[in-house]
Amino acid sequence: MTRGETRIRQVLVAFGPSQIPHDALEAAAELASALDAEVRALMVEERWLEQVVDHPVAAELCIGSRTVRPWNRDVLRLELRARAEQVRRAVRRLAESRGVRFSFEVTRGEVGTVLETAGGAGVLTAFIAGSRSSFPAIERSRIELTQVLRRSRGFTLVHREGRIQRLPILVYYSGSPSARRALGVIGALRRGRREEVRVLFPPADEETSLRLLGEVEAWRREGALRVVTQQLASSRPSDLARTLLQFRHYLIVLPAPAPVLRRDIVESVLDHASAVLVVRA
Amino acid sequence: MILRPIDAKAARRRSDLSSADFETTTELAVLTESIGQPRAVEALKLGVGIDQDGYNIFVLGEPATGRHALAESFLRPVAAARPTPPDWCYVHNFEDARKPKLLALSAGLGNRLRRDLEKFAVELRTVLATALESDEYQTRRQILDEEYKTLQETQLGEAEEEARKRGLALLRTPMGVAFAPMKGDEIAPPEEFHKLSEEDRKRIQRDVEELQERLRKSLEQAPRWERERQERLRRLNHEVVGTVIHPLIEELKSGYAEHSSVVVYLEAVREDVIEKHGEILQAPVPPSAGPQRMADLALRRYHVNVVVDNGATAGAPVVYENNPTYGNLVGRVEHVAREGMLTTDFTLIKAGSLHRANGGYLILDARRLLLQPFAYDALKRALQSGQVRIESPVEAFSLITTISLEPEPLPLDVKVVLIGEPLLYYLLTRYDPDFAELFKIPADLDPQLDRGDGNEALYARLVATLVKERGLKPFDRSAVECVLEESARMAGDALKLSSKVEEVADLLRESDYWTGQRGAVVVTRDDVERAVEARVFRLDRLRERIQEMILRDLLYIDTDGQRVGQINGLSVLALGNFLFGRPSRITARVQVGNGRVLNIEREVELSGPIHSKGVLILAAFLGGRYARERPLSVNASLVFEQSYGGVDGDSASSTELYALLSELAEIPIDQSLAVTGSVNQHGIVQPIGGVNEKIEGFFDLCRSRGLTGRQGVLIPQSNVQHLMLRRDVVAAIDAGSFRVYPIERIDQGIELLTGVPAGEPDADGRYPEGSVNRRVLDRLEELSEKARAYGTQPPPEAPPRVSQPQPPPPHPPHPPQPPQPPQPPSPPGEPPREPPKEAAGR
Repeated sequence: MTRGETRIRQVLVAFGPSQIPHDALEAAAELASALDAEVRALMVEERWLEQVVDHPVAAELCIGSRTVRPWNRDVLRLELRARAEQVRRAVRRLAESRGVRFSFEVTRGEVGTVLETAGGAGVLTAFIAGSRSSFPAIERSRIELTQVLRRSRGFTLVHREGRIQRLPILVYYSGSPSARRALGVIGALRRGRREEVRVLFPPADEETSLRLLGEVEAWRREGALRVVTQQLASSRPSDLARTLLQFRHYLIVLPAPAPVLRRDIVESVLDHASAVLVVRA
Repeated sequence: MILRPIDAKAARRRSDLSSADFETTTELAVLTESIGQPRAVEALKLGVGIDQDGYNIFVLGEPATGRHALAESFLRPVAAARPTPPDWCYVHNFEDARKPKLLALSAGLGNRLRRDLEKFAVELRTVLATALESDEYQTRRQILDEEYKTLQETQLGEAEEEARKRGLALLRTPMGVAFAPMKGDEIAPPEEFHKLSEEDRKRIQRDVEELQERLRKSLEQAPRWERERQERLRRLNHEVVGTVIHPLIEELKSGYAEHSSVVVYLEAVREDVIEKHGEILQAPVPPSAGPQRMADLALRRYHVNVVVDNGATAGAPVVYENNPTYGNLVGRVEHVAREGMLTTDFTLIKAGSLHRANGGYLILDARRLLLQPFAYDALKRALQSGQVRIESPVEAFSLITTISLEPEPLPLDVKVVLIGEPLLYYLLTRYDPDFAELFKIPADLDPQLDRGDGNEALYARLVATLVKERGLKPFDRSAVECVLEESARMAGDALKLSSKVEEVADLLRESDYWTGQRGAVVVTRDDVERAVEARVFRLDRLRERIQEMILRDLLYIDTDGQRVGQINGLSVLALGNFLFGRPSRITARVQVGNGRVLNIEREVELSGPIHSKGVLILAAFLGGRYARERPLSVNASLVFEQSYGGVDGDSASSTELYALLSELAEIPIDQSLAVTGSVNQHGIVQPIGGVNEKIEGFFDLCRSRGLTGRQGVLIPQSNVQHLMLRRDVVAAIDAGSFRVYPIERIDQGIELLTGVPAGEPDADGRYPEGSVNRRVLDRLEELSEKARAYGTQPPPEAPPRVSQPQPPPPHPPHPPQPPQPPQPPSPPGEPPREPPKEAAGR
């Protein structure tokens, strides 16, 4: 397993213009610092905003000032421009304080689509879901996210709470190229730290099991990690989902593709886990 | 009347240390006490002993008299027996950063506190980071944040639910939220909305407005929620941070339990850390540890600025401030440029010498202090108020307005010892009313010491001490004796020794040099004499030039023959510390007149007041002796020939009188003699200054022309005790080739100068025929007759008088002028030994 296969050069954060994603940027900067990567911040001007702004009844209730004001395309343009400048400053401040490189772009489209297309080898796309809520924006994001997780390339992180570097890690290791790449990333994240890493194995015959254990042992020795292994008794998706949910306060690392990225498993995990990292080889 | 010249023994009083048991100075004990300054020592004892305000000390003394050495040698043992004062530290004032707090700690604890706080600051970051990143804290904070975030989202969720019921969607916008009608699961496009009936459009419009208003009202609670959240977060932080720093603070406090001010400060640190923990954690980490680390961080406010460290001080401090500028005296607040701005904080407070000397003694040079702007006033303010307040004089005078600090003043307990010339003391006493209140003790140093009473032996130990302190070769007994004799010459008095220690030390160094030049290891009399000669040679270019002009007959001075109305006077010129004598020709002329004595120097405003006074006195003598019964019918003029500079002092008044008597009596004066001495109205010759230099000046000229055995100098009898003549002059006296005559009365002098008896009056008041006095009277009578014949006789009651100043006549052409030395100021503080102008003496 070479470093080139697991090297993450960029941590990508995409977000809409509705609020400055401080938590997302913090997490991205933390990861980038740990991985010696660049933070790439993408502010996505969502298309539906223009549809709403043209509506005859459209008016904006500003939460900060709690005032209602007429809304139109000109106002929206100004707001987006101002918001972009605010975000750019926030990103720069954060990157400088963390000592990481950064870039900032504004693009148009949907956050999910942008994340899906921007991901790839060497890129970790980070999506900060924030707190659980039925708020439609979140709901919309959840739908988009499921798609992103199932279809994006490279590394995709969904972060809900807790500091990534301090979360314990659970990885599902099946021996696939994606799984091996996942181990590589975990090694980088855990470099110099003593928190244990829990490794789940799928049910398998003895020979396969020994092979997987051997690979994990070699990885453990190489990274001087504390590792706990556990083999699943069942290969049913619902059992897998149930097991994963026992570790909802972990950073759950899932290699793509199936079976772990079945939609129902992803949705179940996304609703409850602190953070999920999907690795696709 | 036979007048005997002095013998060689009287011309120079030799030192004799044969009774002292030493061969070289290495055998002499170092002198630890002062010699010959009982008055000053007594004053210092009193000043140091009275521990009350205002009992500061002013040491009055001429430069180089060992003023500093005396003050320090006296103060150091006294200070050593006193308790060591505390360390003083400035720390951040958490309530008002512009007014840093002052802490007093036992000596040596200041730096310990500084190190402890540095360590605390380094640990603080780790401890805070650990506590605030702990799972427990993060969870509790998450819960808190979620709780309030949920409150808002719940409102938005309820609004969304209500909107959904009414067929509307709630959407996040860049600045807030917006409601929009829905069609199915999508936002209804504007064109669909227009297709609706007017009633539906109005209803939708109404619903949107109603929902907006309802949401707006519910969101009005958000600020209150945020305040509540902040307060709860503050309490959480207080609890968590307070808990983790508690052991650190308590450990610190335990080390300083006896210093209540430090304990109070540490409590303030605790509160500040709790309050400012966020800033501390966000502050950038500098590359290296140590003080610099503190300098760049938010942690800087926990720094301890030890402005006075008495850790290495034994007893009370004795501080000598060599450069008493305002800032060096009372301290200053420095600034650093950051991003084009001048900024400062308590770590940039620098102590002054008043701080460092607090609890002890501060020695200052009065002249330097007075020359520094604001410094003297600042010192007085500090002594009057009993505290040292650090403030910029620039700001005090509102020259520049900038943000600066007002450090807490330091309570002052210091004894100030000012050292300065007597003149400064007298001026300050007279013109500064505060001065006498603040410096009640004058310690008056005598520039001379008595040569007797065993002082020579003590002085020998002083020489030995100077030799040892300066690492010079040992001086043998003869060398020390020679140094003592030179010291007496410096004092200008055979019965005194100079207390100008530094001048003596210079002589020792130069003697040591000449010893080295001849490859010897012990300094002898010859080396000291060579050092003296070399010093004279370095300085006497001007003297040589004047003598050369005399020898070339550019300056007219006769050293043989006889002249009527002409006499050799003697003056002293000063070039810095180098004095030398210069002969001057003085002439007198008389004519029929009305008793006026014309002082030509005064007519052209070249006569100083003392000289003019001398001429008035001699006029009074003339009147008193020769015109008691009748008015003087004579006008006389007196002049220093070829004198182109000012003349002052009365040392030539007897000389002028002799010239006048010679002119009146028409008896020539022996030009192989020169005269110095002042005279009173009764014809008594009075002492003058610079007698040695005057004699040597005439001797040098006579020697250059060849000593005849007749040449010599008439000096006042009372000046014999001052004689410390050069060895070559003494040798000439001993050989009888040069003479020095002590004179008590004018009649003695005129006899010697003219070889004619002065004459004593008989019972009728008549002088013997042929005597000087008789011939003077005869001449005066003759002039009186002539005056009567011409009708110029003044009224009988009119006294003889000196002419009043007249407008100066046009300058006649004159021969080349001798070079004029710069005129030194009168020595302050006591009557001048030498007057400032050319003719010296009194």
